[in-house]
Amino acid sequence: MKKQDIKKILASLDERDLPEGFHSRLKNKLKQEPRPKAGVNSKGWYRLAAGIAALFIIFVAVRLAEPSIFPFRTKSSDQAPAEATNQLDVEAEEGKDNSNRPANGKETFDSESTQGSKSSQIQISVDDMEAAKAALYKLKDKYQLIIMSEDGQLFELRLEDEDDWASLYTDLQAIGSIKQDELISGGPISIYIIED
Amino acid sequence: MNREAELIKSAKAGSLPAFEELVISYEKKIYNYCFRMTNSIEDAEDLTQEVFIRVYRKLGSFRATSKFSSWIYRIAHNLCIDRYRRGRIPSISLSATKLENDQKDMDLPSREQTPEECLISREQLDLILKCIAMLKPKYRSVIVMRDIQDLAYEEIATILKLPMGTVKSQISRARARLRETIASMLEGGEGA
Repeated sequence: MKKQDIKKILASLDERDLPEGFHSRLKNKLKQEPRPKAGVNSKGWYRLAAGIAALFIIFVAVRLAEPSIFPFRTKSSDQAPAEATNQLDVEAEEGKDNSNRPANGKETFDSESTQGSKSSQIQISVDDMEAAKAALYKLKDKYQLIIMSEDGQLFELRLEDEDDWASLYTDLQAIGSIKQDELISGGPISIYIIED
Repeated sequence: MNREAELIKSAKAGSLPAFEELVISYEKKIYNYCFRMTNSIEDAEDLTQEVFIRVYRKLGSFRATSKFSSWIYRIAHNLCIDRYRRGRIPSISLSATKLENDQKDMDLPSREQTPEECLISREQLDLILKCIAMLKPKYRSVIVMRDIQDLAYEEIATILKLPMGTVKSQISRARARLRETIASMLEGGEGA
């Protein structure tokens, strides 16, 4: 049998009539049904909820992977460093008040105040420890250094004016021989004096 | 707004007469589709009623993004496939000899046809319908939609949620499968 014959025969088929009583049976069934609810599209709600959930997961994943992409303030990340900075300022002020005290005033300084922050590390080898300390105090006045902590041979300072850094370094070289240095611009300066 | 859109709006608002008018517009096509898919008057009526009850229940979720007719056909198609999967529509084997009321379906032959030609046509029709009933539901549905109900390729694609190219190739495969089945039936008949 040819393809065209099949198509022709199929196209010639009449539509069948509905069985008798079809309408009355359908009408009875429809009367038992509740009225259709307009605008209810549960599929749409599922899709919307799934979309929101997916966006939330992506947001959390990206935030965990790279916090700087969404730099929102949170108590754990941003407020804590801000508080710490304020605390440093207070302690720096305390350091200022005590800066005129002799070197044994370590109980007034908190050596942990700058823990965790990067600082320039300078180790100076000197012949006379007391003379070196006195010279260091002179430099404090000259450069308006803030002594943040002092623990025997270890001084932790902050330089107010960054432009003085080169000049200060030269003066430190005059106090003694600089054995080791690691200079970081802007942060506190840790000076460790050792006696030869 | 056309008449159908007005009826849909009224039916959505809860008007049963408007819905009944929509039913009347589509009942025959849907019934015939279900009948060709099931080959049973009872199943076809049952499925058609189920289709319109579903349509009534879900009318609120109908958006005019597709044609209303496509939406109804999709519901009908899904229900037929679902019933077939549940095994409530028996598959027809090659040994089956008669389908339900096939003889009545044929258009009366044109006046030019002789009674002999008419008899041949009826025999051919009987054979073709039997072979269609033996096809897999996915092939049967596209043959019914395209070759019996004369739906456009685009509408079939919308109903089946398939790309147009897939629909065309599916129809082509279905026709090829139908010809193979007819050929094997004829060979079997000649051999008997």
